[in-house]
Order: sequence, then structure tokens, then C-alpha cells
Amino acid sequence: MDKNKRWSIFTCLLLTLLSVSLTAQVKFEREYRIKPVDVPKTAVSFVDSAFRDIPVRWYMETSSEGKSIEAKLMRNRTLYSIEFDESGNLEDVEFEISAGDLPEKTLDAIRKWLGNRFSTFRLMKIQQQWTGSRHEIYGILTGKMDPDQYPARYEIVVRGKISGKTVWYEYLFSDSGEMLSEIPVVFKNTDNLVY
Amino acid sequence: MTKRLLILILVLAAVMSSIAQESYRTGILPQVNLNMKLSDNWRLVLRAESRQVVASGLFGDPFEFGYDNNLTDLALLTSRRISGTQNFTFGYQMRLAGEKPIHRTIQQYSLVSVHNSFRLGHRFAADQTFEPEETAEYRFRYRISFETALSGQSVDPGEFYFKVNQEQLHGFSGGEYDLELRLAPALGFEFTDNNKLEAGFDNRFSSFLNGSLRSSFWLTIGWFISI
Repeated sequence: MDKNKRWSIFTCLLLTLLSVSLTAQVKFEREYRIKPVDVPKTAVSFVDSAFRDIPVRWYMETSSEGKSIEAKLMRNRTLYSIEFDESGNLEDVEFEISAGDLPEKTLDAIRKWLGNRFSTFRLMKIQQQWTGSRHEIYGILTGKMDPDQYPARYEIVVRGKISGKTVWYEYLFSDSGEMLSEIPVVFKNTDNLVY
Repeated sequence: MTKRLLILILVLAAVMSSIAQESYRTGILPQVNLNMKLSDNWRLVLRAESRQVVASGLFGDPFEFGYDNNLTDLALLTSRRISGTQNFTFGYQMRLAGEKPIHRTIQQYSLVSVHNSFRLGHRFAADQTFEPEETAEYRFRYRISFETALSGQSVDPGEFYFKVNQEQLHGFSGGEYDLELRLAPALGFEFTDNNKLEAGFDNRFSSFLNGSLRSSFWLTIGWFISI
């Protein structure tokens, strides 16, 4: 048997052994596209009336914590995500903004808080979030209510350094710049894009 | 970005099909990537790839099958994560293709950017190949990878995804330069975040700068495991 054949057999054996021994733990979390007919009517009617004539993509998110439904759409080049529970009750509305869109006082308070947390940091992604009654959110989205008069929250992904180590966190800040939650960002495996 | 990538792929496919003459090889390229965590930032990667040629010849000649277990590559790489999305990797690869092994040293920097419905991987690499009684070859490579879920906005366990790699390799050996282009679309399946299987086609075109195009078309099967 020549050397190449031996290595070939070795590679096949390695493949087989790994396929048998690999019993990775699965954290059940899945998001997939669904059709509007599979979405509760109350959710569809809310989105259709708040965002008239704008194409909408609907997604179902299932995890160990339950199910939720999300509508995604682009309005004025801004990506909106409208989240509902499984019954179609509105949970929140999020859309991407830049740091310059934040109220100055809020941004200053957030920067100050992050400045104490990290030696250096960068705001990687900011989403404004509205939670509240269906009626209020509808009013804001359709311009019947002044959004500046309604309290917003800000979901911010931050890359920073702590003790020389680069870390990523996702924060939720109130409109006064108070930190409400901090979750480390867990990146999905990138092996198939790197090697 | 997606549109630009598609246009690039179409242009490359058109260029390649128009110059698809002269010699070719075709076969199977099975590959296993085993990635082991050493610490928070350090990883060890074992990669095994085999090249099984099932046919080769000149375009225009009658097609003839002829199996040849062409070569096997075994690589041991060390990877240092410098942020959540960036890595430096270096290592050694041994190619078993004849009586004596061929040695290759590898260095690479990679960056992955995550977008709302796709991920882009950028790989900048250099390698040096040392073969007994042959002139050393030095290559500089850049590969861009595009990955998108076929269901939903991100790839989740139990879902299929589409991936395409486009790579250019600039090779220098004995004062001569050659450019190789690769285009590799693949269909992937994610069993878990740390266990993915991909199958696709890897189309490689080289030596077209000096007018003697060499093409190779491989059926690829890649398995990416992280433990």
C-alpha cells in the first residue's frame, strides 16, 4: 500500500470516528421565515396599518424561553423590527440609529458609564427601542404622537477593552442613560469562514 | 453588498468559461477541520484534506476516467483571537504526494463581519512551500467568503445555508509569477454551531497569464468541527 493510500484511509477513518463520537450539546434556538397567513391577524393588521404599502418579512423565533414573532421591514432606509408574542401582542419596536441620533444628554451619560467600564470602547450598533401599549406605539409610528415625548430605550452593542482584553457586550440603556442590562455578546462559530 | 458579490461571481464565471481551454483535472476534495480550544484566545486547528482525481486531460479530447489518489494535506495551525471577529493564525502543513513530503508554512489574518442577513469572511494569507529539489514557492492570498441562511436571517442549528468563497492566489517561484483564481459555491448544513457540513464545487484556474490555462473542478465535502 503506498503512502498516499495510507493517508487517504487515515482521513476516512478520522471522519468516521468523529462522526460517531460527536454528540455536541444543542441549545435550542431557531429563527425561520414564516408566511403572513401563519401570523396572528392582530399582528399583521398592526404592521400593515402602521407601515402602509411597505413589504414585510415575518419570522418565527423559537427558543427554550418560548416563541415570538418578528416583522422586519425597511422604511426610509431604516430597518425596523417589530416583535410580538405568539398571540400577536406587541412587545417592542426597534430600529437602527447612529450615535448622532441619540439625545445629547443621553449619549453623554452612556459614554460616561461606558468610560468607567472600559479603558477604551466603541459603539458598534445602536437600536432605539419603544415598548408600551399598542395604541401609543401606533401613534408614534404613524406620526400622530411626538416620539420625542415618549421614553425610548437604547440597545447598544459595544466593543471595549477591560484589562487589555477586547470584549463585546450588548447593553440596554434608558433614555436618561441609566444602564438597565448587560449581556456578553457570544459570537457564532466562524471556522467555516476563516479556515 | 450581496448584489456586488453576485455580479463579481457572474463576471468571473463568464471570464472563466470564455477561457476554459487547455488542460483540466476533476475529482473530489474531502476536508476535515478540527478546531480545539486551548484557552479563551488560543486554538489549535487540525486540518486534513485529500485530493482524489477522477479524470484529467485536455479540453476537446475525449473524456476519460482515470482514478488517482493525488495527494493528502495535513495541517497543524495555531490561532490567536485578537477580538471577537479577528484572528491571527500560523502553522505548518505537510503534503504527501510522492516519495518525499512537501513542507508548507502558513500565516494568515482573518476578519469576519456580521450583517443583518449574511456574514462576510476576509482571509489574508501567505504561505511558503518547500519541495525537495524544487524552487521554493511563495504565495500571497486573499479570500472573501459570503454566507447566508436559506431560512431566516441567521444560520441556526438544523438549517441549511449557502456559502461562496472567491480567492485569488499570487504565486512567486524562481522569479516567475502566476495568478490563480478560485470560486467555490457550497451548500452547508449546521448540525450545531460547532458542527457544520458543506458540499459544493471548487473551481480553480491558473497559468492563464502565460496562455496555458490549467483548470480544475472539484467536488468538495468539508466538515468543520469545534470542540
